Amino acid sequence: MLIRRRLAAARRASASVDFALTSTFVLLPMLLGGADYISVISAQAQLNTALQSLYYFAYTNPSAASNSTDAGYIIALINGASIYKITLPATMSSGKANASISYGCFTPPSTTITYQSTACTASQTQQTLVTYQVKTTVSLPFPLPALSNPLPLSASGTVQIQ
Amino acid sequence: MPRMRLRPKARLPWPAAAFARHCWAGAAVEFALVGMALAMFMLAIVNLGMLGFTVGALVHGVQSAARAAAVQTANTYATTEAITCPSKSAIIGYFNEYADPPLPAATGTTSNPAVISTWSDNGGDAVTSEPPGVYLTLTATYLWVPIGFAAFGTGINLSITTVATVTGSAQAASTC
Repeated sequence: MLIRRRLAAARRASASVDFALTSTFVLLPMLLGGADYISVISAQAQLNTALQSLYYFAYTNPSAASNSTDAGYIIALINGASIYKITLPATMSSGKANASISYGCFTPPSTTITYQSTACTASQTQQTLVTYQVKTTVSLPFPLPALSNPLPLSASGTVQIQ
Repeated sequence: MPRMRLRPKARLPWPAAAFARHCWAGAAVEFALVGMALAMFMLAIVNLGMLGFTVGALVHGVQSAARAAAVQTANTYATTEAITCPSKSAIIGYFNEYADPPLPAATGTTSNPAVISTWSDNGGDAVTSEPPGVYLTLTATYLWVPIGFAAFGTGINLSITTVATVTGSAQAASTC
């Protein structure tokens, strides 16, 4: 009882106590979360760069765009120098095969495009598209309770090649 | 009712007892202690922002430099029908153009940042397991050192790699 009263009456170093509580429960977690965030955006940047490499490969080699061996070779080249190991899964999250070709079809003068996995009819105008998905995982330097560690990341996109 | 004695007199040696009696500028002393730690936190948050800025510039520099080199090669091939790849120093020049600021200028494969470029050629798709044509693998690495914390560590290694393929080079017979 005496100790509690003495503590309640004491005003010395109250700012230090406030700061210790604030830094422990607010500032330090924010800082650690910031370090995790930087790790994640670095990995995501490499992932997006790899996806862009696949886009360029598809632009320049439309007939080989769906060749997953060639696409995998590009990813292997990137992995040779990258901190993060990127994978080109055989099946994308959507259930379709990676590097799958799809078609956008419309019948002029209508401009309404229908997307499908089979080629358009002869009377239709056809756009050819290819879809890629790349994945990686990043080990968080300071694992947070709400996040899985290692954290899986993915990037996917569709690009018109013809 | 006898008065309760809340604070028994502590027996402190003379200098400590004299110091403990003085409450002048207590807040200033506390701020001096807390302020240093608070300044470190603020500097760390500024550094996180700088690191994000640097990563963005590195990515932009690598992607743009690789694309510029590939497009230049494609243009040369379209006009002269010969594959003439930009030199390593020209690619470094592209990188410096796109990544500055905040990155300092790269000068080679050992500078900071370092730019490593490798041209590959698979004209005619001779090796079926590799993409056809000419392509550039470009890596830029940068040892980022946080402002104000240089004494606490060696920094963070950043690295971005890309591959840029050259338009129209799939059947090109000549090499870089």
